[in-house]
Formats: sequence, C-alpha cells, structure tokens
Amino acid sequence: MARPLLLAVLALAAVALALASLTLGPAPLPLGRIAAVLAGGGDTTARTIVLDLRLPRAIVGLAVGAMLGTAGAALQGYLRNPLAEPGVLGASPAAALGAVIALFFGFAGAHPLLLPAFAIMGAVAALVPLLWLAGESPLGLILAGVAISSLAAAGVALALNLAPNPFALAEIATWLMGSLEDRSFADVAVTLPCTFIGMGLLLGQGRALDGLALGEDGARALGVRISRVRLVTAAGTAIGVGGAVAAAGAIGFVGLVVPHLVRPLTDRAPSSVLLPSALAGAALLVAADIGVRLIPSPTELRLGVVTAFLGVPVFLYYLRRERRLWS
Amino acid sequence: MVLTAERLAVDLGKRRVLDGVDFTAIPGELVAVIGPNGAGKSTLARALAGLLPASAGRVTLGGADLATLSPAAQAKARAYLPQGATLAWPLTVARLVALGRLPHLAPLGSIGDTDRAAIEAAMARADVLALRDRVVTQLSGGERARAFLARALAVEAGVLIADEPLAALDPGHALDVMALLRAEAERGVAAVAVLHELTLAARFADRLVLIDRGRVAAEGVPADVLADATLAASYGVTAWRGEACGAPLIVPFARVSRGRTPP
Repeated sequence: MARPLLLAVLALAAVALALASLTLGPAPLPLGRIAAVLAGGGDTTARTIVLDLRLPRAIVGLAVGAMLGTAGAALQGYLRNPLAEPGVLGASPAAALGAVIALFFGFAGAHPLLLPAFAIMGAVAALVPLLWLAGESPLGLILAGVAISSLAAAGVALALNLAPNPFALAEIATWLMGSLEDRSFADVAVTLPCTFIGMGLLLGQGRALDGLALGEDGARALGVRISRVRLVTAAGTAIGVGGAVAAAGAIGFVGLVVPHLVRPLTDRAPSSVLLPSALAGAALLVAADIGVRLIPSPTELRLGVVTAFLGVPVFLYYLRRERRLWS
Repeated sequence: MVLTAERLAVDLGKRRVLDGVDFTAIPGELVAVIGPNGAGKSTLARALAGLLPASAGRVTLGGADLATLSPAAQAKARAYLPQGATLAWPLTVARLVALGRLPHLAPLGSIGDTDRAAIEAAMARADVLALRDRVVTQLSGGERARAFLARALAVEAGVLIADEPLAALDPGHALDVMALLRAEAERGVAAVAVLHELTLAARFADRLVLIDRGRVAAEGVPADVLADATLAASYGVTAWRGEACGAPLIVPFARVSRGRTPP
C-alpha cells in the first residue's frame, strides 16, 4: 500500500476509534449531547462526563498505544528480532515495578514527576542488559526477556504485598494487565510528554535501523554509529514506555502485534514500519479499550487480557518460525 | 581512492590477530587477499573497512588516517560487503540495494534523483534489474550474492572491500561475481576481495596478498605468490599449474604437510 494512503487510513482509524470511545461509559449519554460538547457547547453534565472523564481516557489510550507500537517496531528493528517488544522483553513489567514502588511507598506524593521517573528507571533497568545482547540468538534474547519479565512481575506482587496501604493488593492486576479506567488529565500530563520524547527519539532512528538489517558490520560500514543507536533506542523506549506504564500499567503484546500487522503493508524496512506502528498501536489500544467496556463482565476487564488474546497467537506463530534456531 | 595499511596490527580480545601488515590497493586494481582459514584475512578486511581499530600502525583511505575520518565520511568513500551477507527483514532487491545510499542521504532528506540513478546503475552492473521486485530471502544463492554486491556498488565508493563474496557459489556464479569485481576495478575502483578460490584469484586479480598467521607471507602477481613453496608453506597443498587465455591457471591438487620449509 502506498505510504501516504496507509498513514491516512491508520490515522483516520485511530481518530474514529477515539471518537467512538467517547460514546462509551457507565452513564448513558446520547450522541447528540456528546456531539454538542465536541462542537464546543453542550450542557454542564455532558461537558463534565465527556471532557473530564472520557476524553482523558481516550487520549491516554491513543498515546500509550502509539508509544507501545513505536517501541515494538523500534526494538524489533534494533534487535533484528520479530519477537521483541517492551512487554515480552520485560521493560513494561519493570516499569510497572518502578511505578508501584513510587506509588505505594509514598515517593509519588513528593513530586508528580517521581511516578514516571521511577517507571522510566524500571524500564532502563530491564532494557540495559537486553540491548547489549543484540545480535545474540533471537531466542536467547527472548528467554532473557522472559526472565526479567517474570522477576519484575514477582517484584510488583511483592511490593504490593508489603505496601503499607491496605488496598494496594487489589492493584496487582491493574499494574500487570493494564487499565485505562478512570484516567484523568493528571494521567494525560504524565503520558503525553513521555510519549512525545520517546516517539521523537525512536522515529529518528529509522535510517540506522534500516542499516542494521544488514547486521552490525554492514550497518557500521554504512556509517551507522551502533553505540549511539543503542543509547537512543534504550532512552526512547524507557522514557516512552515508562510514561505509558505510569499512566496505564503494563500492557503486553501491543508492541509485538502492531508491527507485524503493518509490516506487510509497507516495504518491510524498519524505517517504513515505525510511524505506521505508532498510528496502528493507537488505534489498536483504543479498540481494545472499547472492547473491555463492551464485553459483559461483572467488573471491567483489564486491557492486557484483550491484548494477550490478540498477541499470544502472533507470538507463538513467530516462535514456531524461530524454532529452527533451537537446534 | 588509495587504500593502505601501514605496519597494521589488530588485536581481537587479547590475541594479536594481525601484526605488521603492509597493504595497498590503488584505483583500477583488484587485489585478492588469500590465505588459510584463521590466518586473519577477514580481520584484515574488517580493519581496512574501519570496523576494527588498529592496535598499532594505521589504515589510510585516500591519504587520510581512518582514525581521523568520521564514520559518515568513511561510509561514502568505502563500500564493504560483509561475509555471508545476511538480511534481517524480507526486503525486495530494489529496497536492499537502496540501503547502499544511506551514507549519502541528508539527515531528514529522502532518496533523490542522484540516489535513484545510483541504485539503477548498481542493479544494472550486478545484473539484478530483473530481480528488483523479488524478495531477497527467496532468491537462489547466486542471485542473492549479486543482489548484495549491487547493494555495495550503490554506495558508489572509490574503494570496495568484499569479504568472501564467492562463499557457497557454484562455478558459474563465482565467475559472474569475479567478472563483476574485475569490471568495478576497471571502472577505477580500488577493489579488495577476500578469497579462498585460488584458481579464480589467480585468473582475475591483479595482485595477491597472502596472509598467513597474521602476517603478509607473500605479495605480488598471482604466478609469484602461488609458487610451490608458498603454497606448501601456507596452505599445505601442491598445485597443478598451467596457462589459459594468457592467465596463470593454478589448481590446488594434493595435500602436503604444512610447514615453514617447502618439501
């Protein structure tokens, strides 16, 4: 598909899904009143519901999805590994651990920036060992990621068990499966700057990631500075994913599925996959968030439940293709 | 553009893999780097390409020490074809060849007319125009070798370094690739190829550089370098020799014990 058309279709899909997401909520609100609010008018109740409750949820969903999609595409490009993504590699769970420590041990109250800062530090701790393993066997990398991921998830459970707050334990699922329930503009303020920085850093790496398709020597011979690419990829992923996780918890598999969905629609070069992955990630996450609200269940489903159902089959498919590397 | 190594030493880990290597490739010549497995040929190719630092001595490109040239400047002046060329993603041949233009693109610019012309010309010289929309991972070995070579040619560099470009090619495709390297040299490129195929090296290269145990064991025109004594000492083989079409024909034939003194 021609690139401008692909970008336009994906952007339209993301916007349309975000608008659809504004129509959903516990309080029924006729479309006419929602449209009036979006047009700049509307009654006070409708304005409160749409602008203060539903709009932040949609914005955080778009930002988190775009960030996870971009991070997945960038990590797959850098590591030359179709299974790489922030969730599988442990960056998201480690960021969740950082956020949980900040929230439930009182650091987050000291300064609003400390919550994303702790999440970013968690992501850095997970990414640093992994990015230096690039070029190792793809499965070795994924196994290392699984180990980090499990350790971080256990850390989240432990931290919430030990937390002085009696309600903390109920939060395990939210942090490890992700949720956009009850987001506010405070969450938007955390996520958006991190998303802009993270995406800015990662989208700028396209050329270098293309060069890396030829392997490290091939890329370096084309003038790519590997150590700089590694640093920028680590920083962009950590900042972006840290901000995303601080606002929405660790949502797995978006970064895995999205690049695979858009890659066949591009020329498959890493640089061509980055921006479409951002747009498709935004659309997919908002769609999943619509899904958790539409699927009837006693309590609202976690986002990670939906993305895991989408993502695990894709993961297994590529794992099977990589299986020859075991022998 | 002239490529030289002066008293070059390279360490991999704590091991000195190359020591005291002098090397020159001038525009218009095809230099074959030969030598037994583990002698340091690929290390020399990588060091000449600026991918390994010199522990002692230096590599110069167009008269300038590589250590003083930015990776971007080196990337425009020298093309490097890694051993066992691999591609992480299933790109088409045209997209693969376009990667050769990466060093020439402005930071935020896109592929321009000059780049497109270079890509077309490289595909034409490597005879892969007909394969342009095929996916690289689905090509045969011979087609793939030409596609990767086209990628290197698209850089339009004055120096071309190819590390074992004939690996796993049948005789016909090996001849194609050698003819292509020869043609590049005749276009004025300083071409360097690491080769195991002594017969083809003798036929196509202007000069051979024989690396053995990290040092230059012999250097010069093929007939001299592939003398019985050097073949026995470095490779532990004897060869049949003759002449075909005015070029020396040297065919390794039998094993002899490898040693410093010829039998």
